[in-house]
Amino acid sequence: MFELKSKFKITTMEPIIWIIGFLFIWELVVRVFNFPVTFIPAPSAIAQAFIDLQLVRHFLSTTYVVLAGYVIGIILGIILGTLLAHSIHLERGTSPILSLFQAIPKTVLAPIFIIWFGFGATPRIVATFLLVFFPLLVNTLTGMKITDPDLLSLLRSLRATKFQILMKVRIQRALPLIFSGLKIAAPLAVVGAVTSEFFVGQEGLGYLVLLSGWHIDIPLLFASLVTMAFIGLALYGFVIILERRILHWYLRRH
Amino acid sequence: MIWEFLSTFFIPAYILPAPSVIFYQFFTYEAMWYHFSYTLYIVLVGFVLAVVGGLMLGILISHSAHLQRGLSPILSGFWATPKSAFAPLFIVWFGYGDMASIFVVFLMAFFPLLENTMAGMRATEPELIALMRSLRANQYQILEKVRIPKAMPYIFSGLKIAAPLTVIGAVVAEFISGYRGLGYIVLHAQTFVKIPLTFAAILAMLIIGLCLYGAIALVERRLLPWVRRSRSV
Amino acid sequence: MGKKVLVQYKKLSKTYMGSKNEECVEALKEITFDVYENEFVTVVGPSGCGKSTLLNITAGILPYTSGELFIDEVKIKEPTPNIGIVFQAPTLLEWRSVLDNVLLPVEILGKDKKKYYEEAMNLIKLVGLQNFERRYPWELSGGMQQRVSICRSLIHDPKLLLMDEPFGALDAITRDRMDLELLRIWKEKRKTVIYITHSIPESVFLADRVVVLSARPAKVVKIVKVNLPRPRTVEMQYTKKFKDYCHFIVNLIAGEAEREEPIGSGNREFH
Repeated sequence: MFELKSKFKITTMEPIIWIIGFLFIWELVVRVFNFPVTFIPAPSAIAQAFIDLQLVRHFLSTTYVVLAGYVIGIILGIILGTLLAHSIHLERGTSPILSLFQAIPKTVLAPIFIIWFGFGATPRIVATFLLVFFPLLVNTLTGMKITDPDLLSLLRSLRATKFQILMKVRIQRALPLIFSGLKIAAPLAVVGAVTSEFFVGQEGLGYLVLLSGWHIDIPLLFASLVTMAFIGLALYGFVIILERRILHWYLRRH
Repeated sequence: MIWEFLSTFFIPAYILPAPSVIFYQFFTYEAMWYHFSYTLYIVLVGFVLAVVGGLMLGILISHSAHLQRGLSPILSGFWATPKSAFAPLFIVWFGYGDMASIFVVFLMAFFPLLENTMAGMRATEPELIALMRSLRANQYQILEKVRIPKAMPYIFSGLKIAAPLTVIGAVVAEFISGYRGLGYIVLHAQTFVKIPLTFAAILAMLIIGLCLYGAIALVERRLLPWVRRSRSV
Repeated sequence: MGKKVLVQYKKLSKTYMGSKNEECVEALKEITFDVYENEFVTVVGPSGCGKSTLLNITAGILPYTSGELFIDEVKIKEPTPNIGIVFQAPTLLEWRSVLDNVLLPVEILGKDKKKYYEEAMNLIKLVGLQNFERRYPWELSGGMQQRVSICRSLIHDPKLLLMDEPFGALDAITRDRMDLELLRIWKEKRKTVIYITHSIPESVFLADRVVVLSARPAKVVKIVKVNLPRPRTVEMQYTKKFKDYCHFIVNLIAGEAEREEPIGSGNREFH
């Protein structure tokens, strides 16, 4: 009995122990070898860099862009995915254009967005939106499509209306895939925002990374990177909580 | 075609140039080939490094559940961070030359490859492992006769995912450092508002990405002829 | 038919230790029976009763908790290469030809491939796949792949052949054909076979004796001797005697499934 309990503790505690150990060794190595702060700063130095108003300001800016792009991308992606799932013609017609856009690296389109929309938040939101849109579109479409010919025959024999099919069949099947898309899109949203900030270069964590690079303020650079990861993970975590809630509620109702 | 038509008559050239203009720009810009090949070089070097590193580490890590659990937070941390954001850091470390860009490419390709390799190592059917063990095949070399080939489809899947990412990484890094390459062209085009040139650079990126992807797909078809077919019962 | 015992299970038990808060699972409880040389024994029982556990233990890759297991009078504690195994899925290596797949055990056992080349070709011919030795698994049907799997299990000339529902994934027609094929191969190669199956008619059709296991934890309910003449034919499946065997076994298993009922054991006629 005793060994069973301790086994359990080890498996969940293990990642945490590793992180703490890793940070500890990092701190130790930097101090012992006296690494210059401009090369690799110790975790303690990075922690100090967090207390910086600059960081907060740019963090908020990026978060705004991430959330805006994420939400818009999700909404439009789901809507379009649902529409395409209903009509094979629409799907076939738009498929080549969509595939083309999927192949184009969207992050480097930022300069073009700047030309179209000027500087500021808009081009960044557009870039983020594009990165989020496609996974959501594809996943929604795949989830909502009924490819099983037997099921289709059954529904048709019952003269089910499109709306009925949507509510009773498609949404249920699509929901897990949609959440999967949400999870994929979370880090992508951060990527879109940050990378476009390189091109726009006025505010945001991407810009802050550039700035700290120019000023060789490496602790701040690391702190910015950590903050980016934080945004991505927080978004992802939020999706997971949402998933648990919605799936639970939905499954219980139906 | 519709694009060509629209842009000739409706859309002003500073919004969206016609394809003909883009192609013209692509072929006539003097330094295009130079920068194109530079980016290609960066992409290939970084990619190869990532393949070597990703595969080796993937195979090694898959042998120890401890390592996997321990490294998972670090890997999650990297997953949530845009890898191209490391470019300024690498520029501080390595200067404005090739190394920074290569490292960014490496980072971008490394993680999908690592993850897919690990997934592939888990892919061998337990019955097959049981068979190996019943024949006293505790030599891990023999297990590698089975597990690594079984992992190949996953590894190639990872290669195909990583390929387009490498191009993006290279270009973003080049843009930031302003040194050479298609990223430099984008920077130049943005600074001097040469819109068709921006598009031409994007076209070049697409070509590199497609070629890389295509090459991988070709190799996969030759090495792993069984992948497309339906799996065994 | 010599009465030499090849495999002996003596009160073999297996309990899976639970992790965290899971309870321990008792899979096998004091399994006791013998298998004679050249015999064809089938094992039936309800789903999940532990048949595969028994097979893995026999192959030496799963440790047992208590009791004893002897193969050829050797106590089994670790993997024994003297065994051939066929699973429900063919699990061939996709990048190897049929011939190379068949030769896999020999490679692993560190023997000289060239010496076994002829034997491999013979086996391939025996299962009716001559001219296919250079083909690859994806070019073969499920039944053909399974036949390759059978060759692979025989190449190193094991005394004992363990088969875990090898034809379960095939359609009924192919399965019947493969059963006949298997009996032919068994007769030809004179092996001892322990064959696990879900299908009671199949178990009766193939076996000299049928070992009936109970639900988890699996105990030996009864061992039914099948007194049907060999070679078996498809028509036998329609004889009264065959159906009686099947009914008897069905009732045995059903009786075990309804263990709460105090009655139901009126069907336990002993042959």
